[in-house]
Amino acid sequence: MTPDRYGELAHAIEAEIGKVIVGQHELVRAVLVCLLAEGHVLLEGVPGLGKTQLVKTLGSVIGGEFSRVQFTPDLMPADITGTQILEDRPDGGKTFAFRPGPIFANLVLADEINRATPKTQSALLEAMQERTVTAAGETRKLPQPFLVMATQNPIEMEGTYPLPEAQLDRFLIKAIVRFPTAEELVDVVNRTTGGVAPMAQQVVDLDELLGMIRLTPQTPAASHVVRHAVDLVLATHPTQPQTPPLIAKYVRNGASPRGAQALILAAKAAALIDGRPNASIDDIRALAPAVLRHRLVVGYEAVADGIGTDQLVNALLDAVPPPSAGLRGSPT
Amino acid sequence: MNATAPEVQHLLVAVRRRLRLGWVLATTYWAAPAVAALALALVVIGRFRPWAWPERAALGVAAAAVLAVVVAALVQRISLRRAALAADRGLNTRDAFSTVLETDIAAEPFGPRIAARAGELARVHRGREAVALRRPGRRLALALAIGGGAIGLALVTNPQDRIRSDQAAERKAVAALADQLAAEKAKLAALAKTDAERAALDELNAAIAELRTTDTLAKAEDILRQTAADLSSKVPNDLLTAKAAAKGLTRNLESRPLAAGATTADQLTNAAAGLENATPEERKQLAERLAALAESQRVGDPTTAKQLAAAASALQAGDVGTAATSLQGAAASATAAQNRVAAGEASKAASATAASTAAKAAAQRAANAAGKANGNKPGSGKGSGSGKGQGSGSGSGSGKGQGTGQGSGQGQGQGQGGGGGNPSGVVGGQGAGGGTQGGKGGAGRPGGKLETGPNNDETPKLGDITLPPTGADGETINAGGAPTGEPGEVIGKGDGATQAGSVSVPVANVLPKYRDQALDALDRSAVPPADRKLVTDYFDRLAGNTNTTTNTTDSTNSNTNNKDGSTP
Repeated sequence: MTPDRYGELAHAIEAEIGKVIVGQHELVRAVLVCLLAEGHVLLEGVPGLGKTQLVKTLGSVIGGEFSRVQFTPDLMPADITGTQILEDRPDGGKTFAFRPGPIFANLVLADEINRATPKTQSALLEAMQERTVTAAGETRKLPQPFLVMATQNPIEMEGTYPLPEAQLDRFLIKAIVRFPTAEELVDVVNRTTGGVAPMAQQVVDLDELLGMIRLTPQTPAASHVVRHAVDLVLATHPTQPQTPPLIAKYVRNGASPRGAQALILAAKAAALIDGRPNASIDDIRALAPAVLRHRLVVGYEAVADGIGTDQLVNALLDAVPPPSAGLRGSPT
Repeated sequence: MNATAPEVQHLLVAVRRRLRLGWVLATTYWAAPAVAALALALVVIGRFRPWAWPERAALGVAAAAVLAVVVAALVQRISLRRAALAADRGLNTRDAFSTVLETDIAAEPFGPRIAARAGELARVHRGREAVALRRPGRRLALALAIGGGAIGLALVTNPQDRIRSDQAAERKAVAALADQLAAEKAKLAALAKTDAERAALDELNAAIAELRTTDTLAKAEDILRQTAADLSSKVPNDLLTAKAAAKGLTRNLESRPLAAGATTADQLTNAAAGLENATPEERKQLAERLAALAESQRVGDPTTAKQLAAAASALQAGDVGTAATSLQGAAASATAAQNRVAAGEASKAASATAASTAAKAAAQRAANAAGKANGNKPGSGKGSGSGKGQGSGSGSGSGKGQGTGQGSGQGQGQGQGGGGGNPSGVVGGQGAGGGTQGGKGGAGRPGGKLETGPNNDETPKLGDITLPPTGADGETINAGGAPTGEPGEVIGKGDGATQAGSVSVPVANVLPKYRDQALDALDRSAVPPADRKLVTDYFDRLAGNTNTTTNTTDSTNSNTNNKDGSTP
């Protein structure tokens, strides 16, 4: 896999998805970045915006296995990871056999993840971080590539279980699924009510996709790029000297080191998708809201004052300018 | 920097140059208002204070600011990495240049691509595109407005300029005073013969140095007056007596040497050495001579007198060894006395020099004040004036004559008349009508016959009392004046009124009085009979020429008493 081929395939994937998903380019890019950076994505948006369709389409495009789990309060961990069942052996005896759950797929859609209990939510932790599942004392590897796309509804919070910080931190990106514009909506309606549903073709096989995933972390990032990512993460902590006042006032806990890693990895993937051989400051800053917004633990003051995490991240970006030559009169 | 990307290096070098230029402009825009405001403040201060430096400081601030910015731009280190950062930001090249500097461009799969991308970007961009120079904004406009105001204010007539010119003139005058004092000190030092004299004169150096750092006449005057007072305090109270004694002893031994030797001490020492070989008659004569000398030194130099008397007594008693020892002691004490007199004379001369210079400073101040009071507009003028009035003076004199006897004497006398106004008034500065100041009056003279004394412009000579070559009738000790050739000796000095005039006093009117005073003085001092006779002979001779009057018309030169032929 070369960077050039990486870019070609990424553009092909985006283009193929675009045949089915109208608009939502940022969302598609975010999901693709997560896939290529070997991360997971948390999608937040109201129902009916095409989240499931996006995952299904992505599965078709990469030729991977897709599964969907609808999280409900009575969903059990074994319903996700799989369970042991008693089977008849050919010799007439009985034996326990492991039946894999829906987690054993390349693309897993955890729909409305905040509706399951924390116990069930935590069942995803090992799978997302270690990419393994331990059941009945046996650890099993998940297929490669493996991407969890979890969704949560920003409204209808009644009876939900907000994701704990530890689990949120395992999502590389939290993408906001915006409502389509009128033109996009017209296009959606035309495509879905015309009798022939648009279909996406596979443009990359799993081996090529794994090659892309392996190439992503090798992408060079200049030292000041890495430093800028670190500065941004440090500035999310309210006790740091460079922390902007808004963060200091409303954020209780800032992003973990995993946030800096996520920023760099996502930037590298974004650069390669763009056809560039190096991560840049612009990649970092463009991805900062998606990477950091779910990693900021805000206090009740923020809720009371109606301050969202996106506002806080924007304040962060204003307070931590991109590195420059450091001379008066030099471009910034 | 990668050698395989020369175009990248070329671009980054260009960006670096551009960064320097941009820094200069941005810094100029940033600092210009503050610099201009500072300059304006200095100029404004210059309009309210007579200091000489505000306008120059304002100019200096501006020049220093420009120089500092340029120098800082030149010496500022701008690495290629910083240039690459600037290029990436300015050209929006997504950190292509920064990354290529940190990447091994040979390492597949990214190195060659990064280098190629940087190279392509470097080929299509130029340094000036990366660093856009900021356009002058409101800050520069503000600076120009303030700076223009400062320049305009500096060019408008400043009421403080006249004060400054006065101060400059005053500084110049003080410097001139210092130069004059230094010149006079050099003259005195050239005449000094002993280390003691030179040490006394060196005390003027501090005053000269202090004057060099002084910028007002008032302060200069204070310094000079203090110096004069300090030096005057070092003049022994009995200087005149001691001097008379020392000179008398020297003259006595010169006229009738005790033994071979160029100096008094040498003669005394040699005389001590030759005692062993002297005959009884010679010893007797020597004893008498030493007794006479001891008597002449009794008041002016008691130590030497005591030694001489002891030597005389020992000789009379036939104790040659004790006599020799006493003579050697007399030699030492005589030398010490001469040194003491010389140092005192030097201090006196230095004090007089300082006082004279202080008087000049005072005169200059008064003239400046008069000029300011009389003249409201700049100008120059020279005034002259003359004064009329009566002068009086006092003098003292000591000396000895030779001819009919030997001895020494002292005397004091009151002078009358002879106040020679010196039209050396100082021009009154810038006023249309300059003030004038009369010169000091001539010195009085004992007996009202001689008129000597320094005028304003004459510096007392070392050894205010000088001994001219001995004439046939005696020797004259002239107080600050030239030898008069008259018999006897006169020491007199005094200040008269600042008037020029013609005052004639018949000698006959004052001669008896002065004669009585001189004789009184002789009575009060231990004057040898020979010297006493010299004085009486002197007055007797004067009495024979009483038809002569003293007429003083000009005291600018203390030695010009003979101009009108009225000197007796």
